[in-house]
Amino acid sequence: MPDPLERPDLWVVARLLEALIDGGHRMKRTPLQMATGVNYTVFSRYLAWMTGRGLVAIAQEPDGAAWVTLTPRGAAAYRYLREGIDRLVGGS
Amino acid sequence: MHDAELNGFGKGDSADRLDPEPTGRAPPTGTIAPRDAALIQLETNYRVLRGAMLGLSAFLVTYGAVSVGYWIQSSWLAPVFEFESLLPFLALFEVGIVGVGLAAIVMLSRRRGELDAALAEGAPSEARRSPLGAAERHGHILRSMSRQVDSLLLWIPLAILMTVLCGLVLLASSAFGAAISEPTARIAAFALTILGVPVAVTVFGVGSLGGIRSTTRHQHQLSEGGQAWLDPTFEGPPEDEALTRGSLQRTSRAAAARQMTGAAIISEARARGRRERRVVLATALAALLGLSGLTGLLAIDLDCASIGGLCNSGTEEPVFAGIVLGIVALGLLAPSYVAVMAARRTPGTFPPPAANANLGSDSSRVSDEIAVVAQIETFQNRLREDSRDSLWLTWFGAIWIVTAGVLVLPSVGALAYSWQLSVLADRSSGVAVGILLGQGLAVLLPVPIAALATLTWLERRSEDAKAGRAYRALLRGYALLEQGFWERF
Repeated sequence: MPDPLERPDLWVVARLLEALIDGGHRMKRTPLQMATGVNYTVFSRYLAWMTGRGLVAIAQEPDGAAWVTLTPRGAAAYRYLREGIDRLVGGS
Repeated sequence: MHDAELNGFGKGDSADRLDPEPTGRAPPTGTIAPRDAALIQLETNYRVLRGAMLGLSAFLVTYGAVSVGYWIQSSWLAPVFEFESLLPFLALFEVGIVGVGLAAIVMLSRRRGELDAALAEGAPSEARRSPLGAAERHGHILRSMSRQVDSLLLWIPLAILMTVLCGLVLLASSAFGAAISEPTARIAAFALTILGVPVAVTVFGVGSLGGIRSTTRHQHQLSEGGQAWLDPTFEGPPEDEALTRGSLQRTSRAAAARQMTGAAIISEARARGRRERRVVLATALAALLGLSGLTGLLAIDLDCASIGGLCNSGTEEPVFAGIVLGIVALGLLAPSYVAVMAARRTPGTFPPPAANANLGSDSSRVSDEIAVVAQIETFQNRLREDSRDSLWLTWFGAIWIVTAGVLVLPSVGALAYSWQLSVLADRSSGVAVGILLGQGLAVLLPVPIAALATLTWLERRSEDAKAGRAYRALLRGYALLEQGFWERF
């Protein structure tokens, strides 16, 4: 799939990763999109971008529902952001 | 202002990046109205006004210098300086004034073209994401801006025309004064006075009223944009206090950021509205007083050069000339007063760096933290811009004061000398004393104001520098974080 995002917004990436963390590392697309807080078009483009970089994986269930799963690389990305922002703003 | 400057993340060209679009009522928290049409429009409006004011300043300063200089030499220094020696300077000033005016026209025409292009595009898709919401409003703002540019394009050529006309009459009447008959010179002087003042009043009065009306409307629109960011269910205080730790604990960081954004936009709208109205009024006042005075001066010049009326009548001339000079001085000093007052009151409209202290707690969410930190860049840009505007206004005031002082002080001396001569035989010496006192006050009055303004600005600059350092430190960290993320993932 072509990469439609040349300069993604770190805020959206963080929101998406965070929603997956909160959702137990696995969510269906629509609840994930709602939790991310962006419209479906933007969500799809970010999802494709993050899938391409191995941050999330999309698994098609036998019932046809698509589940988005946080990969270990995605979890590492979230940890990187968490630690980085904590250091930046002096949080504990 | 470029989009990139308004952009919450400041990554440069905004065309190749995507911003989140909100799905709900509230705007995205990751950006601070980055492409808010009203903000961009207001900034454009301000720059156009500033350009117009600079052009007008050049007009008044140069023309005032020529007129006063010629008046001095024709009244007292004629044996030393011949009028012919001023001709090249007069020609140069005329060319300069026309050049400045034409440059302003070219600039405004380009702006007009950009506005046309924006209107031709229709409602940009960005307007859907704007806190202002409706695309129609975006179009309305653009059309309003177009009207304003149109009015500027109307009165600047008129001002140029008037300048050239006055210059030509002055040159003709002075250089060929001997050839002009007394009735012709009187009619010319009368026509200049009668026609010049109403033209000045009409052109600048209408332009100023239009500018004030437009500014007020834009302020209202921008305030509405700010209101759109405010969440009525937000539990914390709505404006400056929204960033206290207590209020943040009652709600999410994103909601707090939204409150902060709304309050900042509203505050910005009010501050800019006040500032723009002040600038418009100062311009109008300077134009009216300056042009009225200059027109009167030209009439006296005509009278002196061509028919030897008041110049040779002895006692009345200093009084009349002093009155006219006083009007010119007021025209020159009024903008300095308004400019330094504006510089003093240019407010710091965005949250202080103390906002940083509210970030970072166990319960905070990463994305919300990012949203707040990313907005700091916008605050920093605003801070820098406010500081720059304040500096510009202060210098503008200082230049006006110096110019007015340079022009007026020698005249005061000359007038004093003239008054000394005339007081012996002049029954109107009281008037002359009044004029002297008035001119002295006009020169001295702005000095403490300018000093106060400069001190205030220095104090604010120090505060801004501290805030800027805090912002820069935070932004450097954020940039490193972001860069590290893209490199690793």
